[in-house]
Amino acid sequence: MAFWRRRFFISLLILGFIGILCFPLFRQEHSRSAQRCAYDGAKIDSLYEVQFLMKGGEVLRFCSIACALQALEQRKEGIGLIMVTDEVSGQKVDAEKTFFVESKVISVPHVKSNVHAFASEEASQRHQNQYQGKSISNPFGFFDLWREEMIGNQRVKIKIDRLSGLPRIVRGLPSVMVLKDFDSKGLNEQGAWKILTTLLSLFKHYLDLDVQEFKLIDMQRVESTWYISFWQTYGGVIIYESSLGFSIGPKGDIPSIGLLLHKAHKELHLPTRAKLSLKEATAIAKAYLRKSEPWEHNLLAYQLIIYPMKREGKVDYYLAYILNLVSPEDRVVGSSRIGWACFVDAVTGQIVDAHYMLAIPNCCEFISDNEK
Amino acid sequence: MKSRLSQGVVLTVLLGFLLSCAGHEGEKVKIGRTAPNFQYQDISGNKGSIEGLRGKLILLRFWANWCPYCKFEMPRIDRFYQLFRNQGFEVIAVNVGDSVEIVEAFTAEMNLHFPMILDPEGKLAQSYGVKGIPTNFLLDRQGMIREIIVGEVFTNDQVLWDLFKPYFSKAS
Repeated sequence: MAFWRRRFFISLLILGFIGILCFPLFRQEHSRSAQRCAYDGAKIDSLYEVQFLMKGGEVLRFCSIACALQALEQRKEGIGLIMVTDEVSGQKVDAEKTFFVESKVISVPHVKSNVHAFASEEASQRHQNQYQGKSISNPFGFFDLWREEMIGNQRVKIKIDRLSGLPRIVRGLPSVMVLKDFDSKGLNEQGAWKILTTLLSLFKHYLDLDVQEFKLIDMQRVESTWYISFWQTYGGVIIYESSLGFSIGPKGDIPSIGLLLHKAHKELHLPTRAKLSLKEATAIAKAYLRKSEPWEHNLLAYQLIIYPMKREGKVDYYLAYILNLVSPEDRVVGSSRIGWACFVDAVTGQIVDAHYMLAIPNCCEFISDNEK
Repeated sequence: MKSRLSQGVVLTVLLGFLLSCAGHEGEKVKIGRTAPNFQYQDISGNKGSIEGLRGKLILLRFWANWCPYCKFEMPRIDRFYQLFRNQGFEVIAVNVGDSVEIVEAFTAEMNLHFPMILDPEGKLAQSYGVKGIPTNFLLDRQGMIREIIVGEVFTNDQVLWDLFKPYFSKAS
């Protein structure tokens, strides 16, 4: 009898332990299901959740695409990124990279939400076939985030970059600007700088950047049209993949401007001189690559840059070495991969980012039959 | 030792299979064959497919922002596109590996008018057997591949005209 009583108590003890161990899971589940929609207060089913990652770091959660769309208008200015949920995997995905389908299936009944989000085109196609759905463009409509206004004496459309708040595209209707007495044949570097100065002054309300922040990338003429582009710099260091470029027709008309700019001088407090030598940075990058690829990589090219690193709706900046490292092992037939681009923080020595290169930078790559 | 050997065998078989698949993809895309269909959404949000463009003469062009030759040729192709788009000439520019921001800015900088689509991981390029950039595929009005041109060739308008002229005259 005593034996059975002891067994009963031991079993009880074990069950108690299991209960204690499982408690946090229940709590987590409870807190997850207790998430409420920021628009209508309804409980959120995580499979249909939409998140606005605000520029200030706040996350607004919505029960459905329908509710998120209702909230979009008031919140538009502060949104850094919109994440929707892939209905297949339950993973959160950037709305701009999502395939949306409108079908007969209602996902969130209380708002009659019939728009579905899929990370892959195949899944979206499957849903369309299965439920007589049709593919629709991103309902959050960032493709159409344009402003139209008069700048100088020209009507223009401006697309604003959500992260920087700076223009990314300026399209003239029909021109952004027309240069008076433009001499296509006589344009030189000095003339290109003058045009940039004029453009910056014209768009001062939007850009507020100094002409000294720029560096000429290239100016070339195709027939009678000029194509001019500039880098943006910070303390003389080029900001990686930044640009301000435009074309000028024979009559001095600038139809559009393409911009990839940052509020660098206004908001950054970065050193502009590396603490690490190139040799040290290269050793760090090679050691990092060796962890996953135990063969030797050779330095092909490098540059000290300001690297804007995008993370969940915000941008962090680093003074970094970009190191292009290649290895014969990377050259696999059928693959366009040719090596690595490693970004090493030139102050702390941390690896900021690393990704495959699809081909040798600044060089057009051909794999001849002999090399196969 | 035995397990390492079997791992090696499995890996070799797998690699062989993958390479044979890669080879197969490349073989499908040849002059005289129908171009593989794909659906796309361009950076302005417009959707389309290669099959949906049947009846048009298409220049399918793979390019990247790091490639200077790809960029130099763009204005000339755009001028040609604007001249002949009313005669059923279509350009589909596939950017390999760059972000939408870069492609949008470049398109505005160059004031390009044709659809620009993104191939961030190079999968489409790979399925077309692209081994160098720029690569241009000329598809006739039936969707058949008529020319595959690798490298910088459109150095003047005459080259473009010589290339496309025979197909314009066959317009239905």
